[in-house]
Amino acid sequence: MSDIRCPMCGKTNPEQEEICQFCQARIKPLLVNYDENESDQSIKSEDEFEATDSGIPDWLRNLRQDESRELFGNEDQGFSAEKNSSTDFDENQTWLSDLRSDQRDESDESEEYDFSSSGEEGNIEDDDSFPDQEIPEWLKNIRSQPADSEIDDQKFGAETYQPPFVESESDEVVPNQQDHFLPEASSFTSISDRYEPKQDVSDDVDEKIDDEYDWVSEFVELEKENDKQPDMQSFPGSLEKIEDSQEIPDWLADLASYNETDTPHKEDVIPEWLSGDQLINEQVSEVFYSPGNDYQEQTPEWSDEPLQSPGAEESETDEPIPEFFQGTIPPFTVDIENFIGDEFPEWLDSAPAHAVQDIDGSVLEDDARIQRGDLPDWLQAMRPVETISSGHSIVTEQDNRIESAGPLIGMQGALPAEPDIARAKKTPVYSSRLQVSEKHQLQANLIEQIIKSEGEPVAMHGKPILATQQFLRIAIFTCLFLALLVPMVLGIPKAPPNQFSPEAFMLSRLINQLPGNAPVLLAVDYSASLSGELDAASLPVIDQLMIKGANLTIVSTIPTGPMQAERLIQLANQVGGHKYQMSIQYDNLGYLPGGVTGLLGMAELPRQLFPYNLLGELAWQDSRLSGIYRLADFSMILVLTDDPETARTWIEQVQPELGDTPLGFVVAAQVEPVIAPYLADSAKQIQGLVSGLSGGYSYEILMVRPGIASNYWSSYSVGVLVVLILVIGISLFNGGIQLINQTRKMGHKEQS
Amino acid sequence: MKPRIRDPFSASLAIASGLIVLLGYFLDTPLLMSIRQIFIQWSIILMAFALMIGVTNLAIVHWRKLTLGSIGAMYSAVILFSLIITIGVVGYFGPLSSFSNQIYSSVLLPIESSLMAILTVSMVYALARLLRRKFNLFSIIFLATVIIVLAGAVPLMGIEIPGLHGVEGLRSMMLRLPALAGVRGILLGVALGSVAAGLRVLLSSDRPYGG
Amino acid sequence: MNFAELNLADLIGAVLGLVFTLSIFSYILGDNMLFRIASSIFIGAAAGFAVILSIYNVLIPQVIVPLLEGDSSNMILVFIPLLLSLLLVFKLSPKLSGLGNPSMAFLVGVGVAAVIGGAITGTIFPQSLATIHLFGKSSEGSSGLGIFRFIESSIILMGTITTLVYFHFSARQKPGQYPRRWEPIEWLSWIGQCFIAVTLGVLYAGVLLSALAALVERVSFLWKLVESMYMIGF
Repeated sequence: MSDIRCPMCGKTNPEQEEICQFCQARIKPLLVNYDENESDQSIKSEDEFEATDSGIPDWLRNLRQDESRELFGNEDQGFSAEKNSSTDFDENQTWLSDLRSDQRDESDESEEYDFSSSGEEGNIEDDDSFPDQEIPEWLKNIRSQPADSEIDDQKFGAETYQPPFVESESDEVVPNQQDHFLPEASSFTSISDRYEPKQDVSDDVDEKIDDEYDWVSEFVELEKENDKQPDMQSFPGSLEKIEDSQEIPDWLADLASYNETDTPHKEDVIPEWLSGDQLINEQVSEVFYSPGNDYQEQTPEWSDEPLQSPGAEESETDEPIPEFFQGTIPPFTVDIENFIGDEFPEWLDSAPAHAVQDIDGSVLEDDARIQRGDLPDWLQAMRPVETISSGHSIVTEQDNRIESAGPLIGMQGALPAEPDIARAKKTPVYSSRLQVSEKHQLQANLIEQIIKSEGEPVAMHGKPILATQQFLRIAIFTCLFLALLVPMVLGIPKAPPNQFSPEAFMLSRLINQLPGNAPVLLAVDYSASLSGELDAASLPVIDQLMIKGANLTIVSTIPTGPMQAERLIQLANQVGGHKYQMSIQYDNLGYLPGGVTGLLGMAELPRQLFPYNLLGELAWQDSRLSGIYRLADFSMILVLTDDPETARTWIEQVQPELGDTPLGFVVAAQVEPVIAPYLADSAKQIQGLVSGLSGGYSYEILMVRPGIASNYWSSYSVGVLVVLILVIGISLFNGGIQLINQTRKMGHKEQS
Repeated sequence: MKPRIRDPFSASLAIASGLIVLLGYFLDTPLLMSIRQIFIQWSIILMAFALMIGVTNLAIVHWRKLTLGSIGAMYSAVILFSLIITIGVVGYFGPLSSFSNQIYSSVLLPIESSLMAILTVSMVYALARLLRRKFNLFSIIFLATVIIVLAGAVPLMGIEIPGLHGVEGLRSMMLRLPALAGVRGILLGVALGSVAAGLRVLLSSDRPYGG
Repeated sequence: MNFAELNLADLIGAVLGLVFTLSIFSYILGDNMLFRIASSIFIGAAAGFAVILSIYNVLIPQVIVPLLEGDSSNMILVFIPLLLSLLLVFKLSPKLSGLGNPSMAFLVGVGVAAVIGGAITGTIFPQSLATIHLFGKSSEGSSGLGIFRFIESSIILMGTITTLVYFHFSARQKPGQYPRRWEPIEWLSWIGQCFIAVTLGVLYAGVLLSALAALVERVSFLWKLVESMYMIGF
């Protein structure tokens, strides 16, 4: 099924639709279908009428039905002798009158508008048949047209007749001086310029036609001149005028073969494209109106109503509305009350009643002669801004443009419809520049600069030779180095040690309680990193053990432990004056891998894990270790470690297996806090502890055997003091700066 | 998506060995203890092999870096050179030889102790800038604690401050009360976490061995 | 250390020690090649020592010697760990690393069991009992009045509990709100945080003292070396 394109919004709609689904504009013009093949045929039967009216609204269908009945059933009606031609007008008048009668409850439906007498009778508004509120806008617009425009007789002439849809150079576009919302209103103005009233319109009609209805007078004059016989050759059948135009629509070309001699008949003459346009229909009926017809009888009642224009000023015109003009329905009809029966479209029903305002914003009074129509919201939103805000005539150049093709040919101000859409033209080139405000443009520029700067290399500032951080580190190292070196160089007297700790005293007591040649397990589990501290802390303990003659069995759970143990023994020999030798006084069993598992294994099966010592000799064959099968068989276990985890593992894995065997630790200062809970009185998992250089120095003082710790103590104490000074000084400085910054922030916050 | 194939044999081996060793803590049956001790011995052997395999992997990685000419290939060459020399000397002369001791005393000990020594500078620097980075109550408590412990570690200028030094001093009290409580809580938390993690492995919820 | 008494080997060792010490100290000025070379030498030497000690202490006495001298009945006790060890070698290959999973599983299983047992028997039970015993009869060696001991015990108990509460991170998330723990838990956690701050401060001070001792030892080494060199007329 082929789709049709809406002439207003350009969107495609199904073929059967008459009103656009998107913008509610009429797609199919309201004209009687003209078929060239049917030119010789009589008026369609009533059934045929109904058959063709499948897609038209019911009110129109009803009208046509009445019309057909009148045509077939009522032969007395109509106009004069030229019945065929007059019946057109008669039929139009009839269905139009019926249309009006449906809308008006009070008015007399049989009353028809007497176009000819409209001028005599005075103001159309006085006519009761046309109450003010029912006059459509487009009709009002017609009334408000200036009277200066004259109908060109030549346009209506046999030779010079030019349909309104044909562009002509001689066409003069008469701008509508009044405020017309609907551009179609001006089209009626232009139409009025082209068409003359029928010839046998009474002189009264001529008199009543004022400047606003000059186009009506044109019809009248034309009718008079042409003896009510329209020259078909001047109408769509004739292409003489059409040929003068630059573009000849195809539909118009079809009409070229129309027999000019045939009596113009409404259904025969009116082309199909004209069938939907009541205006043209009426115009044609006016054209072919034969003299003698009684206009008065045939003018529809609704035409007596004064025309209404939403933006028009009060019009005091008394000119009657031309008959041929009365039945036309512009594409965008706002007030269609008079034309629509009971079947109001939903969108029209839902349209709220707004206060009728003039274009300049002033509210029109209810008793304004020209009443404004209520526009639905969607239609109001579609109003061009210039039309609303200008306050002047909304007639633009586009309004002044005379339609040159299509069903609205000759009409002025019609919205471009099919010709423009069907005409193949170059796609308009729209500017790709966005309409943005200054603020948005500034922000867009800012973002663009930010994005650009991402890819651009940032200029690197010259790196200073010494950064602040590096300078501070060098300064701290220098201070410490000098603080440690100066006591060594100057030989500063040693400061007294700390008060002897009870844990160290307990360890000393435990060692003192050992029997001679007691097997002591010495676990050397510290690395070379803290060998300085632990050498100094463990030497007095080992020295005491050596003094006691303990048989040392050295094990280690770190790979470098055996070497460290060897170094320690050598150091103890050197410092303490001992002569402990491998496999005689001590055994170095070596390295035990496995960590937790290794300690668990050593606690339960040391013989299986260390069958040999580092010299490759059988370790457990000697009498010193002959009675040792488990760790608990040792007299004492002394663990030297610098790692908190190693200390904890020894306590967890070995201590439960020891029973009454004491477990002592010589640890670095960093390990003491971790094993303090195990040392507590409530736990008593460790029986002795010497911690750090201070513990070793205290132990040396206790043993009265100076060692390495004594050599380090002076520098150590000065170093601790310097560290304290550095930490306190820099912390106070940084803390003060932070306090000032926070105070400033608080102040800014309070101010803001 | 290819389904991940789990290794039931590895999982069952882990569960079985773990349960046997764990039960040995609570049950004292000869058979169980024997098997437990065998498993422990085997694990120690495996640990030693794992250590050697780790060192082998270290050598392979640095060899690749050296042959491919990657960045830092010179340092990889130094690592491989020192490794080979150490293995050769210590392996040939024995761990307790004078050469081995010389390598330990002249190479390992100075380097390791020097690394620990320069840590002093970094720690003092970090402590001094602590308040600049974080100025809150806990930072102040932390800094105050460090200062008190340092001050109480040695007599200041040969003078023992009564309220600070000594067994009843502030430093001892701090070590005995809040520090002990905190460490005990941490130790309990670590132990509980270790138990939970271990049970996850024994229940096969977690398979760190690649099964 | 006296330079005059040193033999050649010791002299070389002393000079090497000096060089390596200064190389490591140069890190104060920034990362440099000397520092990296010294670190690389240390890594290689430490790895070499680990390998040799493992061979000397485990591989030879527990695998090779039993294989060479052991009984057939003990062969299986050696063969199985040897087999597991050989499977462990496949961990070096990315493609065949799956073959080493049984060995790793065995190691993990035994190690995990040891950790669990040690944690329960060595820390959880004793430390919990120790916390309870704080309020028991005064043990030998305790001093001070009962009230002060009670206060100390209370502080230790409160510190232990609040420290454990701090590590409780379960929170209920209400719609539209940030997940937050129960209010009493939050307060206890804050107290625990204070205890943890003190604990970490004590630990930090201990590490600082240990590092200072290491610096003292190094400075002492340098001074003695310089002093000896000065005395022998360098």
